[in-house]
Amino acid sequence: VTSPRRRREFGANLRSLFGWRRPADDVAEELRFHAEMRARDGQPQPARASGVVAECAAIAAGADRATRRGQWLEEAWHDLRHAGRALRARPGVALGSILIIGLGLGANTAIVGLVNAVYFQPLPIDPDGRLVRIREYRVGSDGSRWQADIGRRSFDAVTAAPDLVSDAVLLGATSLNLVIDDVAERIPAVRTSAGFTRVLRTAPVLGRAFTPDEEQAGEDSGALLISQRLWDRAFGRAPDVVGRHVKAEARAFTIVGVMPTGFDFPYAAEAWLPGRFAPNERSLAIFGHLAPGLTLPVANERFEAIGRRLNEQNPDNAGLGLNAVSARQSLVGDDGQMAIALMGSVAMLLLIACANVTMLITSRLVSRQQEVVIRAALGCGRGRQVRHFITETLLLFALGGVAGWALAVLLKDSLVVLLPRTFVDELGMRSVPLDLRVAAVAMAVAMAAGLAFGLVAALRATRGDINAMIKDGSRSVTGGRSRRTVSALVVVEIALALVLVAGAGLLIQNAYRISRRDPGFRIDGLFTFQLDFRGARYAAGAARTSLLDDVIGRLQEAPGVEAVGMTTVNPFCCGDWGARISVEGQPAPSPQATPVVGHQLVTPGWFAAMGIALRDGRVFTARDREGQAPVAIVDEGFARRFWPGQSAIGKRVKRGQYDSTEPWMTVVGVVAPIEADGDYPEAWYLPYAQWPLGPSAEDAHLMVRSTGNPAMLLPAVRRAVAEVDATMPVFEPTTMAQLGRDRHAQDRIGATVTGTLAALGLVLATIGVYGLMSAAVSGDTRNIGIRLALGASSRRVLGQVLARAIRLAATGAIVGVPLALLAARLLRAVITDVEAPNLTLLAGVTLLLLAAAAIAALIPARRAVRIDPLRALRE
Amino acid sequence: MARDHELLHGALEALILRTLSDRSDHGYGISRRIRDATGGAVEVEDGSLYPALYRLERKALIRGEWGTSDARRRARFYHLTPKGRRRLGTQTAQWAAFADGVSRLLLGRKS
Repeated sequence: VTSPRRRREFGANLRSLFGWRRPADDVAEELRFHAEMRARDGQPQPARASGVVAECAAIAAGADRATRRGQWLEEAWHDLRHAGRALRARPGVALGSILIIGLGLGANTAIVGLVNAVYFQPLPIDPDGRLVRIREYRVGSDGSRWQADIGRRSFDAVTAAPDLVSDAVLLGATSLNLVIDDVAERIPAVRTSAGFTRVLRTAPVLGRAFTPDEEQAGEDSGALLISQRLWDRAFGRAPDVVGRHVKAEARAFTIVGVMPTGFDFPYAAEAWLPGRFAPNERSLAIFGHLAPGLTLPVANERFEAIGRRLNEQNPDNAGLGLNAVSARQSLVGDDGQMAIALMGSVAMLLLIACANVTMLITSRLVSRQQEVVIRAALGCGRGRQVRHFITETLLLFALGGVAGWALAVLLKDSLVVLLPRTFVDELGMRSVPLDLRVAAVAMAVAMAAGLAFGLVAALRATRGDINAMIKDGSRSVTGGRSRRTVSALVVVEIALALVLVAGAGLLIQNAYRISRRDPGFRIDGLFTFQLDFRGARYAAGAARTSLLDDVIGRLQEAPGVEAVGMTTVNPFCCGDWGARISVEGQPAPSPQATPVVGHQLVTPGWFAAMGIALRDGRVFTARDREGQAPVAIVDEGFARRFWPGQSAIGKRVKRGQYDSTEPWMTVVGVVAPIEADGDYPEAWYLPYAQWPLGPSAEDAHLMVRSTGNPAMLLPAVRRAVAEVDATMPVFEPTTMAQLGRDRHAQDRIGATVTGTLAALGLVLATIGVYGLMSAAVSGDTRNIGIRLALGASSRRVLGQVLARAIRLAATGAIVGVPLALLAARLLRAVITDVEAPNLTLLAGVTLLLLAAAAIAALIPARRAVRIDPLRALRE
Repeated sequence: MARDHELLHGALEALILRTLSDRSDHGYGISRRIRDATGGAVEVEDGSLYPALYRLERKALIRGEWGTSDARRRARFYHLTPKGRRRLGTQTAQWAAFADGVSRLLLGRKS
C-alpha cells in the first residue's frame, strides 16, 4: 500500500541528502509564482511574511527527516531499555539463554580463530603471502606424487630466473653438538645460503645477520645465529652473548646475533650458520618469493619446465619433477584438516544452541501474549512489535557474544594442540590468536543469528488476529501454531544433534582404530633415544660402528634391558626415508618409474628389540659387515610386489637406477611389515655395518627393550654412552609408546573435542525436547484432566506423552540420518583415513537420541499423570 | 477569517482538501478559489497557506508536482491522494458535528 510513497520519500530524502534539490528552492519558486500571479490579477501585494520559506522547507524535508530519525533512535532506546527490563524480569531464562548462546558462540569463535590462524593470518615469515616452497617430486608407480627433498642444482636453476623467483634461500637441516660449560648438547641447526634473514623477512633482535664475507666463507666463517630459546636456556639471556665463542664438533663458532622470539624456522632450529652447499647436495629446502605479478599455477608451469631440463641434463635428477607450493601450504600440510572438520561441528552446535534459545524466547513470547495484545490495542503496529522483540533477542545475543568471547579467550591456549605442528615448532605460536578479524566474524555471527532467530520468534509471537485475541482473552490462540514452530525447532535440533554425534562417532571410531592398529612391532616397553654422527669425529664409518658396538654392548649388560638395536630411521618420528631401488631381472621401463621403498639401516639386534616377526630366511648377524657380501632384508609387501608367489630369499636388489654402479645385494630375510611414517607400501632394511656412511647413516635411533618401565632406563643409557664417548650427546630420549601417541595426537584430540561438542549438542537437544514437552503438558492440562476424569489410566497418559516425544525424536532422526551421511562424506573428504559410517553407528546414535528424548519427556509426563482432574476442569 | 491558528489549522486543511477534491491546482489558485467559494469570507494568507500545503503533503494527503500553468509558467500543482480523499470525508463529518454542536450552544437551536 505504501510502497510508491515510500519510494518517493526515499528518493526525495536521497536527493536532498546529496544536495541535488533543496526544498527551500521549491518553496521560493512557488512563492515567486504566487506573487507574479497576484500581480497579473492586479491584486495588492501583502507584506511578505518572513520565514515562510524556511518553515515550509523545514516541514518538507529537514524537520521531517530529523524527526523521523530522532523518533527511530528514541524508539530503539526505548526498545533497548524495555528489553533490558524484560531480561531482568526473568533472570533465570535470560542467564540460561546467554550461557547457551555463549557456549555456541564461544566454540565458534575459538574455531574461527583456529582456522584464521591456520589459513588466513599472514605468517611472520611471509607477510605478503608470496613465499613459496619449491620442491622436487617423484611420481609413484600408482601415479601418486612423492615429495622429495630438493637438491642444490634446482636452487641454482631457479635463482637463475629472477623473473620467476625474485629472491630465494637454500636451507639444509643439520645439527650441532654444542659444548657449553663442558656439557655437550645436540641442537637442531640450519645451514643457510646468502640472504636468509632477508628472504624470511626477519632480522636478529640482538647483534647482526651474516655478512657477505661470512656467507661466502660458509661453515668456515664460524658465524652463528642463535634462537631465543637457546639464548634463554644456555646463556640465561645474557646481553653480552653476541661475540661469545662456543665449540661445536671441535670447531670454534662466534655468536653474531640472536633471532627474534618465535623464529625457530625451519625444523625447529635453534641455531643458523652460513652454509656452502656442494653442487650435487640433496635433502635441502628452498623457499623463495614469486616474482611480482606471477601466480602460483603460472609459476608452476615454469618450474615444471625447469625440472624437465634438469632431468635431461643430470642423470641423478632422473625421474624428479619440480614444483612449488605456498609456504603456508607446506607448513600446514595435512594438519589443517581437523580445524576444518571442527568448523562444521561448532556451526552445528551453534545452530542447536540458537534453536534452543529461540524456543526459550518463543515460549516467553507465547506467555507474553497479553502484553502483545495490550500493546496492539494501544496502537502499536506489528512492525514496531517485531522490532521490539528483535531488540530483545539482539541484546541477548550480544551478551551471549561477550560470554562466548570470554570462553574463546579461556580456550585459546589449549587450542594450540589443534594447530599444525610446524606453527608451534617453527613459528613459535603458543596460543590461537584472536585478532580483530576473528572478533568481527564472531560479532557478525552473533548478530546474524540474533536477527534471524529473533525474527522467527517475533513473527511467531505477533502473528494472528489481534482482535480475535482480545475477544477471546485466551492465551492459546497462537498456542497451537507456536507449538508447531517449536516442534519444528526441536526436530531440527535432534537432526543436528544426530549429525554431530554421528560425526563425533566417526572420529572417535577412527582414533580408536588408530590406537588399536597393530604397528607390526611391540610398542610397549620400548625406550628410544638418538645419537648424531655428524661432524669430523664420526666422519669415518669405523668410528660409527665401533661406538655403536660399544654402546649396544654396554646397554645389553644393563639391568632390566632385554634387547637393544639401532636404526637410522625411527618409524614413528623425525622424518621418513625413501630409497630408489632396482630389482634384478626387472628393470624399470623408464627412470621415472624406478620404485621407491621405505629405507632403514639397522643393526642385527634391531628386529628382536622391536619384536618384528621374521617370516622367511634370517635376520642380519655380526658377520654382515663391510667387506662381506652385501645383503638386504625386505618386508612382505616388497616380496609380494616383486616376486609374487616366489620366495624372495636369494633374489638380488640394488640402490638407484638399474644400470647404476651400486652393488647387487642378496635378500637373506623377509620380515612382517611395520607401520611407519612416510607410508611407503614396501620397505627394505640394510645392515648398518655395511653402509655406515650410506644414506641416512648420520642418524642413530637406538631402541632398548626393557623388562620394566622403559622410561626408567634414561640414567643407564646416559651412563653407557658417556662411558664410550663423554662428548656424545644423548638426545630426545622417549618411549615408542609416547611417540605413537604424539603421532596421532590430532586424531585423538579431534575426537575428544568433537565428542565434547556432540555431548553438548545432545544435552541441548534433550533440554529442547524437555522444554517442548513441558510446555505441551502445561498447555494441555485441561485435556489431560478430562481424559483422566473419563477414566484413562495414568499409564496410558504417560505413554501418550512419551510417545509424542519419541515421535518427535524419530522425525528428527529421519531428517538427521541423511544429513549425517552427507556430513560423513564431507568429513571423509577432509580427513583422509576416516571410514564410512556403518549401520551400527547410525543405529546406535539414533537409539541414543530416542532414549534421550524419552528421558527428557519423563518429567513432564509424570507431571501430566499427577494432574488433578477436578482442578484441571475448573481452570 | 480570524487569525486564530488553533481553530484554523484543522479548518484550513479541510478547506484545502475540499478545494482540491474538485480539481488539482497550484497554491495561488487554491487561495483564490477558497476566497471565491466563501464569498470573500475567508482570505488565506501566504504565510498560512504554504506551510499547510507542505504539512498536508508530508501527511501524504495531497501531492505536489511541478507542471506548467495556464500562463505557461512553471508552477507546483497539488492534487488529492486517495488518503486525502478519505480524510476529507472524516473531516467533513467532524466539522458538521462540531459546527452543529457550536450552533446549538451559541444559537440555542434544537434539532
